[in-house]
Amino acid sequence: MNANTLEATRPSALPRLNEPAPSFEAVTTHGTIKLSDYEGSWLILFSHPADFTPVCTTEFAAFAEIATQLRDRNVELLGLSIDSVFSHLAWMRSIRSSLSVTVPFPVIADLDRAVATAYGMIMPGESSTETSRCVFFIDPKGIVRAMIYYPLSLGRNMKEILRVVDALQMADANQVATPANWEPGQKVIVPAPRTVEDLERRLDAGYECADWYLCYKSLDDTAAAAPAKELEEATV
Amino acid sequence: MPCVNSDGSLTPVAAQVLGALASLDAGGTDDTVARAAALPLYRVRATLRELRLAGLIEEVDARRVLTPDGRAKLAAAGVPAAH
Repeated sequence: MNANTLEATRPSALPRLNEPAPSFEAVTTHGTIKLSDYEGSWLILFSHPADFTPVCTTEFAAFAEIATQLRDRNVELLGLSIDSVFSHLAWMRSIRSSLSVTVPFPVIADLDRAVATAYGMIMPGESSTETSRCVFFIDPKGIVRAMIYYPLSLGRNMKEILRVVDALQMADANQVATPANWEPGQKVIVPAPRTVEDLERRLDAGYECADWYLCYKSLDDTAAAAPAKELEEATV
Repeated sequence: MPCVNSDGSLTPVAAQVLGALASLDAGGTDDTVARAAALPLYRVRATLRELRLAGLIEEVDARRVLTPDGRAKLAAAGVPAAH
C-alpha cells in the first residue's frame, strides 16, 4: 500500500480510554441496535476481518462458548465486520451446522464502515477493506475502559477477555489495581499513596509491602468475583 | 418493520416482549419488561423501540403500554393480552 492510499483510508479518530464510547445505531443480526441500548450492562464490542474465514470462525465459536460466563458478569457481546447482515446470517448458520455452535449475540453489518471508522477498527497498513481484531470493553455508563487490537493473523484468547472483565470489575468494586498476570483470587495492589498522610496510614494497615509504593492485599473470593454494581473512580 | 414479519405477524422476539409487557399491570419499564420476558436488556430496549415505531406500544407516564393495535397483534399471535 502506498502512502497516499494509507492516508486516504486512515481513520479520523480512535476511541480513548476513560472517555465515552462513540455512539452508534447499527443494523445487526438481532435488528437495529444502539449503543445506548446497553446502558447498565458492560459491553464487549469486537470486530473481525470477514465472515467465512478460518480464524474468525474459531473466534466466534470461542466467543459463543464464553457468552454465558460473560452474561453472569453482566457483560454482553456485540460483533462487527464489514459484511452484510445476510452474510452474517449465512455464516452463523454455517457455524451452527459445521461446529454445532449457536452464536447467541448480535453482529453488526457495518457495510458503510460507520462504526468501524468511529472506533478505529480499520488498520490501513494491514487491510483497507477489513476490520482488524479489535476488542473494546465498555462499562455500564458507556465509557471505554480497555481496548485490545490484534492483527488479522492472531486469534484472540478468551481467557484474557474474561480476565480483563474480571480485573476491571474487581478494580471498580474495590478501588485497587491488579499486578502483572493477575488472575481472580490472587492478591491485588493497593493504589500508591499520594500524600504523606496516605503513606503513614498504609504503613499501619497491615498490607504485604515489597516497598512503600508496592503493597498487596487479599480480597475475599466473593468480593473479587462479584460483578460491579456501581462504578467508582479509582486512582491507581 | 423488523418486529413484524412480511405477513404482518409478530416476530417471535416481538411477541415475547409484547406478551411480557401485557403481563405487567399498568405497563412496564425497560427493566421490568426484560425481567418478565427473560431477555437481555439491550434486546428489550431495541425491540420496544421497534414496537413503538410500529405503533404497537406507547409511553404513558414514563411506562410502556400496549396500544389497541398492539393488543390486536398479540391476540392474533395467540398470546393473551392480559392476565
